[in-house]
Amino acid sequence: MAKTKVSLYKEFTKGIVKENPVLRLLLGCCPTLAVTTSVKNGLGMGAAVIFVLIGSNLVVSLLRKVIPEKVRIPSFIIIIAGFVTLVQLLLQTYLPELNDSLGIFIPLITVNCIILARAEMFASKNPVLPSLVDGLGMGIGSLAALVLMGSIREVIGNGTFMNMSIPFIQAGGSIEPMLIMILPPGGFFAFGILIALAQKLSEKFEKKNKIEGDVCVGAISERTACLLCGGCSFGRNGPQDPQQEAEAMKRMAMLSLQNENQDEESVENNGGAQA
Amino acid sequence: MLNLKSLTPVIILCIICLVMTGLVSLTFEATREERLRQEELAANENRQAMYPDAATFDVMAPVDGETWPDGLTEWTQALDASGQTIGHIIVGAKRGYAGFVPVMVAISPDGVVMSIRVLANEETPGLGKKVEQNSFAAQFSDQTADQLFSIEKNPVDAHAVDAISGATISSRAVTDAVNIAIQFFQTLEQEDR
Amino acid sequence: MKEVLIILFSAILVDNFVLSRFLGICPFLGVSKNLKTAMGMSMSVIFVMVLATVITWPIYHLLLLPNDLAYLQTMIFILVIASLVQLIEIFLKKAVPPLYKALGVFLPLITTNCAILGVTILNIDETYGFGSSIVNSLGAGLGFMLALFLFAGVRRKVDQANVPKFFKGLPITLVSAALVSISFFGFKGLIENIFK
Repeated sequence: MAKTKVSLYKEFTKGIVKENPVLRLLLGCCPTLAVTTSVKNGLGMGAAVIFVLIGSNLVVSLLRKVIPEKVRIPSFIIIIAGFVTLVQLLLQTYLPELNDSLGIFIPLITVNCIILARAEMFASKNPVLPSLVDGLGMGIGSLAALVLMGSIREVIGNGTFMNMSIPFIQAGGSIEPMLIMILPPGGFFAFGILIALAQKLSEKFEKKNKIEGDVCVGAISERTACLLCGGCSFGRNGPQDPQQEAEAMKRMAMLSLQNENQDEESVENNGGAQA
Repeated sequence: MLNLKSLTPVIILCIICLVMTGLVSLTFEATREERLRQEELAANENRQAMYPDAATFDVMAPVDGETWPDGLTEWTQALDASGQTIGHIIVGAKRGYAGFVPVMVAISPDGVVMSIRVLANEETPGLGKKVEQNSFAAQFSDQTADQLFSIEKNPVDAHAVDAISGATISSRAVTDAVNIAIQFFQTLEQEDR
Repeated sequence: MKEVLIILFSAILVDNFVLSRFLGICPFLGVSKNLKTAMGMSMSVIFVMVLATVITWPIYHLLLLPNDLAYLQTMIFILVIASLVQLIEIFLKKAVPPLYKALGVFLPLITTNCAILGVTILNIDETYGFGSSIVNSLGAGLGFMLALFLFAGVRRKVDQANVPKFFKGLPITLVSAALVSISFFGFKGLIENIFK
């Protein structure tokens, strides 16, 4: 009993700090950069991600013995897309303003790497309760990262926090708001600095627990990594030499191709059998 | 011979599709009324701010065979409780610095631009976005709609608009959008006569 | 014609998919190290973007909208894109082997690339017609390619630079992406004045 509690606690906290999906595993970069122009947007996006993550983890975990290996990825995508549409409908109904400001990035949660990665790596292999806890932990981890990004950009770029103005960061005040931070370049800049900080801190605190190999591939199976991010070999420990990297990418892509070829063959066999 | 075993993955995938679609449809139906109410509220919020006395808003659409001029996106009549038209709300849009800048213009039946409101746009925050500020928008208020507005360096005339410095393109887009609305109002008046 | 040019160049320069809309960041950071892979990746992205638009636009306007099913947009679109990519792959492999050799490796990579789903949804949101949608998709793809190519050049310099240890890799790449993104600000306001 005590043992399960400990491991559940571990599943919960790993997503928040050690394996923070946004800052450590570098999953779901697009919404992190795009919607974090304010704290409110970051909160909204984070909450939507938590909802979809918990929902899809729950369903995938429930169905883990039913879903056949071959149609695994399409099934996950459908389940995730369903939950995303649910969130979209609920937002349109109850929080239309937030829905407008998040715009296209709500439907795009469907292709957010975090969610498919958790379905593939965790929920499809673990019972319901740990999957729920994992979803919640990872969700809170990405919410925290989104809110952090949002705070930095809103405070420096607009001189406000949650729409409350900060007295000394004002036009004509002691510090002028730096508009560039809420424009697209500010997103890249803030994210770069945050990841650098995360790297520095992790070096300091967890020298023993370095994630081996390519970060993204470490988080997802090699095959899915490719399908998801379109080449994730930009991790800290990934191959640095371009030639090597191209090789690695090719290998990853071939892996995914191989599997699909198998699918294709089986479909052909099936067609032959029918004829 | 039909190999059932190799078909199972496909069948299961289809079942998952159907169940998820069903779930989404149920939610859609359950939230339909509330969503429509919210949409109407949101649409009327700006209109209500321009005509606080209006009881209902009558959204107009192009009559058969009639085409609206380029950039005209919406025409609404504000009605009071007795169904009397107390004003027109016309939305014109013009391309600004980044994408279209839609402007809502309230014109009274006797031809006075009551107020304007710049709607959601993607102009640069801190520069182009300043056209949303009252100090800029107020230049259009309480002017007659018999004459078009124009951007002038040294505004003397009532219909001359002082552009926001550093945001001439955005200022011009707003002015042009207001002019689209005014021109449409003028054709409305001519048709009435 | 003027409208078409405005849509095309806005999509490439002003609303650049990668640098201003933040779509397709992962492949942008992942494959911009090397010009050859960047070329293959962006060609496949352009190809799939245009084809996906050709298919999703009619589905939305002829099938979903008249039947009050617009809310199923996300689910249908992602399914269509996923199957489309598979079909293209099978087709190219059998019919045009040279093209398959050039693009094949990248095709499975972009099934869940958010730029593809993004462009199909944006075309619907912006209420573009069929022709304009295709032009917009083409522009979005070309913009992706431009960003990738420019950035490949920047990265070659950055990789040789001596940066603090914890900035190595992704952080310094992101900071330089910020600078490239700033340079694209120069295009804002340009489009309207060129085609006056």
